[in-house]
Amino acid sequence: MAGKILICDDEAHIRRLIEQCLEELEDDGVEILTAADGEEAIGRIESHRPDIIILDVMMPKINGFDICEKIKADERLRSAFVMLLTAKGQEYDRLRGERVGADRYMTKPFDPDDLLAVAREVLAARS
Amino acid sequence: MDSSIPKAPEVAEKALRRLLKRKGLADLITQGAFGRTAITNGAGEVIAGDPTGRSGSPQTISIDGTTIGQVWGEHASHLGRLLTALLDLSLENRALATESLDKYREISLLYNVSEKLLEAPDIKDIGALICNEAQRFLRSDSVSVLLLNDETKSLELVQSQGRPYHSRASMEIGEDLVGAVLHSGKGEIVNDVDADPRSIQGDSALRSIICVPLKSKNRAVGVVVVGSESIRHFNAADLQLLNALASQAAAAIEVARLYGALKRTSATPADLVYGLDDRPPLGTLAVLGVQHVFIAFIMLVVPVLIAVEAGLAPSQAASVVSMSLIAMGIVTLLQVRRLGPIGAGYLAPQITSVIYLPPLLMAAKLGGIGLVFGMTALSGIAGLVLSQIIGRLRKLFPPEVCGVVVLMIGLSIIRVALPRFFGIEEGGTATDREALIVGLASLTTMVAVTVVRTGHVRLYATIIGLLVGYAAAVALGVIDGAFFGQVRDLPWFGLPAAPVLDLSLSPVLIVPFLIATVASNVKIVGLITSAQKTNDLNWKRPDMVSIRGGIIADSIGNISSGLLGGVGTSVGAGNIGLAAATGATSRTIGIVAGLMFIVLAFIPKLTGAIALMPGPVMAAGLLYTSCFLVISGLELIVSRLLDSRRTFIVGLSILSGVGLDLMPDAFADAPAWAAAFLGSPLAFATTLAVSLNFVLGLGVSKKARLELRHGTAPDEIFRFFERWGGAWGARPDVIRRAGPAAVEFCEEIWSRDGPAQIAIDLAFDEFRLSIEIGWIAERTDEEAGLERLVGHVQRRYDCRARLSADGSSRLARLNFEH
Repeated sequence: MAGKILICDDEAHIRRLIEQCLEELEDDGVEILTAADGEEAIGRIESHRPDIIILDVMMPKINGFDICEKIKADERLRSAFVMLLTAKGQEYDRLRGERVGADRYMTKPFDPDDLLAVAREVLAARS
Repeated sequence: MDSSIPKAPEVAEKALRRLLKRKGLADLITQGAFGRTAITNGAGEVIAGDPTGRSGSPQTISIDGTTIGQVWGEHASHLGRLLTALLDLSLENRALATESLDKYREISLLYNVSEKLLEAPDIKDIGALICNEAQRFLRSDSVSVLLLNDETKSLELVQSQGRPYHSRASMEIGEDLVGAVLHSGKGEIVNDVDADPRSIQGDSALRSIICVPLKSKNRAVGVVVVGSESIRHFNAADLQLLNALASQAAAAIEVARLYGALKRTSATPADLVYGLDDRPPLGTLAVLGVQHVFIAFIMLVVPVLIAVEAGLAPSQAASVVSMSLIAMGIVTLLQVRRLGPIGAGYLAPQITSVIYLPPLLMAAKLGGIGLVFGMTALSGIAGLVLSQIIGRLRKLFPPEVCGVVVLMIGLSIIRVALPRFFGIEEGGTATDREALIVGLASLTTMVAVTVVRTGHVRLYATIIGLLVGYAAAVALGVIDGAFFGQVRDLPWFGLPAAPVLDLSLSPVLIVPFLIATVASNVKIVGLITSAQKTNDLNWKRPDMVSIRGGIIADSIGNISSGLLGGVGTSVGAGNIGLAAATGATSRTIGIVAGLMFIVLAFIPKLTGAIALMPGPVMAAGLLYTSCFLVISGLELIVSRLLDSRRTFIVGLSILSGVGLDLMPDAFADAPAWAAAFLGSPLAFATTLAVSLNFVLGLGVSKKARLELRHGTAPDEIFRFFERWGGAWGARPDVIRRAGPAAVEFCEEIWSRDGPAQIAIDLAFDEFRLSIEIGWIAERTDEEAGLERLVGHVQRRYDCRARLSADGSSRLARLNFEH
């Protein structure tokens, strides 16, 4: 299995957590990238063209919705699978996530096993 | 959470490989910063560097004394030590990350579980949820949820997954691990069952077990047992997680129990003190039996009145009373158990019924007592036939039509009762003041005792009223002095006087009797249904086998009553009410009451005294009964939503019935065949109600559809429900729950799926209102919101809800019991 996953979250421990959760994919040859804010995320997306982008909604500089909108508006990038992560209970966020074209919407605390399963599925479908 | 011991060298090797792929380090090695070098793993395969650089003596990379790999080349010693340090750091980092990931997983589990628990409707669902989550997180073969039954002091298996801890549905609390956890209230791990001195019960093949208590208010009400058929190393973290899961589940179970208890108390007026198969102590049994007999007593007015109207002598009237009592006893005994097709299987005392009074009076006037008996037996045969089609009769006799029948029976009593109440002789007009005083005294006593609630005294209201009436009648000379002499001359025990048995039939009376039989049977359906509800906490719908058995027993009663020389009987509404109110529904009570009826038939002093009942006292009893009939008729009528069509069905029928009562000669010159329908106000009103219901009901579809666009006002949905509820005569409370449930659903759909077009289909039969809400979903993921709504709607509106999907089309089905 090959592919690239980009984890964008301003909280280092969440990034590390998701990385740890996707560790076994890494052993299978999947490359895991991280970004700590919106700008960095956009830079990485453009240079690395990840297959899966895990986006925290609340991030400094450019928030997750805007990044997602940008990705989905760009011919070259829109094929990326975008997962939005947000705090529980913000119903409005969910609707907004739908509108900006996110492929998947997860609320924190998300189920790590779920996240891994989705990532595996998406990558398997692409290879 | 995986408790299998991690294979450290493999993990460390993977970490080493990952480390060697790190950009900075990988570049340094390939660019030759450490010279020509090769790195091999534990098995000696080259995993980085130059494969040809494998020369000289290697530097070993080891973690906790285990060799993970080796570094070859000129700078092997430096690079090796560097890699060891880095690997150590990275493993430490990984261990921390894994631990926080586990914690995170735990948080996510508890978060999700608490949400799902809120929506689990009952204890079984909660049990299933615990099993699922525990199995998923502890990766075990077996999860069992056991709850303590406080009455039997045993543990009952609520739900299990994999091999249950114990194969039977319930088990004793023993000296085993589960017993210990229940007593101490603290969870325990036993990683090797065989090494534990406590046994585990039964045939369980579990080798490693974690057991935690389900605690509610500091008391263990059950346990969750997680186990494995092979030896496992459950650890403290597993125990902690299971404890957290159990404590949430225990709270949810407590709520579900309270909710269940609440539902039960609102469904039945009192908790059952004596259930169907309980045996109350002898003293209590006697008191309960006597109460049922006393309630039945007032209805003995019916045979007395009929005997008097048929011109029988007091001794013959006493015989009719006796025979009716014997029939009452026989049927009451038949009702308590199901013998083949006969019997309802409940405490359902059978008493002479006012329902048969109007046609019986017609029979008494038309052909004397022989016709009374003959027609009574015939109505029993009709009942046998009706018992087979009672389900279909519900269409012809919806509640509002039954209400008209019951109301008209109540009203028709006025014509028989009032002249006696006022002491007006047949054909005369003068009021007899003494008779009126006797009647008033008797009626006032009955009403006063009933209204002034003083515990069980209320149950004796009619008996006390009758006695006061007799006393007043004697005091005021309404009964002649011979009364005492006559009663005194009767023996305490003896066979009843032989009845006059020249049975005859009349075609003119068939319709009035048929109407009374149908009315009586419809009443029995209602009463046996309520007996079922009182006894069955999980009552869902009427048990038609039991109802049919009840009607068959009743019909056999009428046939035997007619053949013996008695009048028609029916299940006593007061008796069913008494059973529910006292919580004593034991079959034994039915047997005692039935035997008491039969014994009373052999006390000539008693039946003789009843047969000599003064006219005003009879009238008081009839008027007292009539009040209940009129009110229950009205209740039946307004128990359903009435649209204009139904208003006319009910209104026109009552007006015609009352009108015919006021102008009895209106149809004097009608043809003879029509006399059956036009001869009595009750028959006329009933026939009219049934036919209007049939004619006006034609073409009323039992299905309706409403199509909605985004933003339709809730009002429109409510109006749709009201309109069709009215057309079908649905219960107002069901419609009032169904409408808002549909509105909530539509609003959720619109907030999810944007301007989706929604179709609401309603279908109605007497047992159920079903709603189907269909739409095309824009989103096909994230069904959780809808599932949550389904749970919420079920609980809030007390219905069954289900969601199904086919591609992008969604269908929500809501079923309301009716």
